[in-house]
Amino acid sequence: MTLRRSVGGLAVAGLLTLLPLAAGTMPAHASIGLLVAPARIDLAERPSDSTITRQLSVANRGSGRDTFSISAVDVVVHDGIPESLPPSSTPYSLSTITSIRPSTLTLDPGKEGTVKVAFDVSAHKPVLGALLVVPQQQAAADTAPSGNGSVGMITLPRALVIVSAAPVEASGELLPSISLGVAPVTLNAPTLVESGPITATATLRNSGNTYERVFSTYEFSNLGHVWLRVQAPPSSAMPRGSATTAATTRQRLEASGQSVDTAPWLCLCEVKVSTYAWLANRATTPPVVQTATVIIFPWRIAGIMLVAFAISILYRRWFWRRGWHGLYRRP
Amino acid sequence: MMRKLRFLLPLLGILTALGIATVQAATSATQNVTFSVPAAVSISSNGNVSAGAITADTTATGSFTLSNNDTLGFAITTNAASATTTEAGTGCTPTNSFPAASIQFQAGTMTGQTSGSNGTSTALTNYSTTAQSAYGTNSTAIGTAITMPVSYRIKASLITPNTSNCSYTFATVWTISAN
Repeated sequence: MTLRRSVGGLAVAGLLTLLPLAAGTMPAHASIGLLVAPARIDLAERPSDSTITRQLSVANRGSGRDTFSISAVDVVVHDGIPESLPPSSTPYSLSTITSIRPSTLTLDPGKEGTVKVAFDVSAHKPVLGALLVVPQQQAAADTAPSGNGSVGMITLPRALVIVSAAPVEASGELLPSISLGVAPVTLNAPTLVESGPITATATLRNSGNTYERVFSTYEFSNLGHVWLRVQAPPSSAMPRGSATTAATTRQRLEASGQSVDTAPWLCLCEVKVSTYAWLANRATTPPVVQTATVIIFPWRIAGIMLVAFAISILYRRWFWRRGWHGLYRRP
Repeated sequence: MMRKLRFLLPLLGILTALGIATVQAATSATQNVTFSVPAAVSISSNGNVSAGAITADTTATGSFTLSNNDTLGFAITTNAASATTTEAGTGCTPTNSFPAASIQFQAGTMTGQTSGSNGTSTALTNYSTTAQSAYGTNSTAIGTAITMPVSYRIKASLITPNTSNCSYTFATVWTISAN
């Protein structure tokens, strides 16, 4: 086995050596791209609703004429990251209740088209899925490597428009059979740091019985004085799944575009994370609160100062013991 | 007389101001402009990437242009279009292939946004057919021309050399979705 691997490795090395040397990477210039609006669809299924319709705009952001296919797919969410699945893959399938007309759009560069999307919500149950917009891959032929023994990458950009829906009562409240909830799991933040920035990561568990979006607000305070409040990018979770949100004290300045660390140089900080779950325009109250204490102490600078202070004390003692102070007495 | 004037003049002034306001009100009309701005995201590939003929592990770079108008941010995921890439070409008799994990990806720091935060870059990650997040934490960058650089690490030692007239084209899928 080892001999076979060695021989195989030698053969690979030999053949690779025969290949011409790479002349450097070279990005080709053909562009494929798309814009979708709305970027996300959240629906509340009212008792009187049997079909909900929405429009989805697709714009060609590529450099050539392109055809875009729009399809409904099912989705599963892992820690806020959606993964598209084939139609009818889940019990809360969106693809089975969705019709899209037209399902393809052919657009010139910069042009925009619209499709009508109808959701059959007569079953009045939670739904999760996505509209997948895929451009036809057209730049591959002229940019893929054509020579002997070369490697190239073709990139296919696409957009996923997440669609979530939940049944509500006429008043807008979620049906009693639908429960939202988040339970705290961990709040990771450093206990002692020499300096900022402080990055905190909150992990929560979906304790409800349906998909939900998770919104967290981070508050950084020093001895009770709040010096930074940040809305973290939202996450989402399936039932019993986990969602993670994160925020940092490093913030981007709107004016110059540069990032600055807002953390003070000395701080007995508290990081407070308030999180709520959201679905169909309804949020859980009160929010789940997680806290952590972070001490910012520049121990290296403090150590140097302490040593310098100790040396100066010792020097003064030594100076006075030697009696040299008498030299400086005024006559 | 002066005391009466002292009282009447301010009153006259107030009445005049009221009169002007009334005339102005009578000649103006209200026109409400109703509109909505939906959240929109876009992703454009700035071209495919040719790494040329490689003899050792090589890093090839590419980029995407993104746009986003929503403060809630967006997620970027990527996956290999197929688990195995088979060589192809004109006059090629394909015999060799390599698994998706022979190529790694890494998304770099975004530039060109007007506000919002960058996503947290992750280490080089092996490709698979399962969508993987390009960033540790999602970005909330807002802008119309946000550049997202990407690096592809091609592990030549894991790739069988091509047969004559053949080359490899590794297909990647990059997906944007709003948070």
